[in-house]
Amino acid sequence: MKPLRLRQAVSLQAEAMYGEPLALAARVGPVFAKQREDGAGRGQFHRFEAVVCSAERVGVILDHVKRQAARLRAWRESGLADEFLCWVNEKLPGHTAEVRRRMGEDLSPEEELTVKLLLVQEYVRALVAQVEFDRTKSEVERS
Amino acid sequence: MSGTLALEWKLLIVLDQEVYEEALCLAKGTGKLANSQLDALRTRASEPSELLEYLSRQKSRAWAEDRAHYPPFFDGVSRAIRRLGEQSRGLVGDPATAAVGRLPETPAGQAVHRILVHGFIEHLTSELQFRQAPRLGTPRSAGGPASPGGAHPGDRGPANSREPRRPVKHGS
Repeated sequence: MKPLRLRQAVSLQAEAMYGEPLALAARVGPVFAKQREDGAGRGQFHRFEAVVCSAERVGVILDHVKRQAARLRAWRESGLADEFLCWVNEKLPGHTAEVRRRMGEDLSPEEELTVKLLLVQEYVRALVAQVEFDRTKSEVERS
Repeated sequence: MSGTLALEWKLLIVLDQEVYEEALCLAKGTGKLANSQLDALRTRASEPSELLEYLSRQKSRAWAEDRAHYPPFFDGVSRAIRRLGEQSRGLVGDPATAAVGRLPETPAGQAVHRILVHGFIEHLTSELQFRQAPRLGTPRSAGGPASPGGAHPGDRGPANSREPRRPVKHGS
């Protein structure tokens, strides 16, 4: 039953931190919308989400973000790469600790890494959904 | 139980965390490298012995071409590959040999070594490319444009912070 309880604790924590990806989406979305010539369209975010959701470890996600930032201006200038990496560095350990507290027991190193991966996936899913929502909303308002 | 069976995938995930941190340490002390050089490392990452040979050749070339910061970097990568080789041998129970830094000899050891080296090179090259990318500052940066090649979020505190930079340790 532990994996199920772990999932439940992660879901509750994802709810608690839901405002964080939305705040980032509000900052980076408009920059991406302006920089379409840089290939910063919807596909960028969909690919990001696909990489994140299929990743087996957080390191793969960090590598992807760094490569995208090295390759594409929008990832650097919008602050997406910087702020995402800062979130992983600064906030993720706290959220993981909160999941541990909700579980009421220590987590093995593998479980801890799994929690981090699940939380990053939740964060990016919410981020991408919000960027997509904002972009569609502004397109509808303009038309 | 054979070495391969004993070594669970989850164990490799935990090891990747150590490999990630090792790659960040090496990247931190490295000067600017050509992107073509980083791509060349990536394309050889799936075959550790070939990568070692390549690094040794490149090292002689770099001395000849007066690129002084390349050889220490190549040495660092070679050391990491050999260390990961020893670790892989230990993990799958390859027969211990007297020679330090010897690469795994069994298929199981070689398979584990390939996975670890591949992860190491991916983490290392992405970090270096990220550090080397031109940085113009972000809309949130109150302090104006960052110095070229200097701003690196993985090394610093929250956005806008002027605190010393720290590497992103996703496993910590």
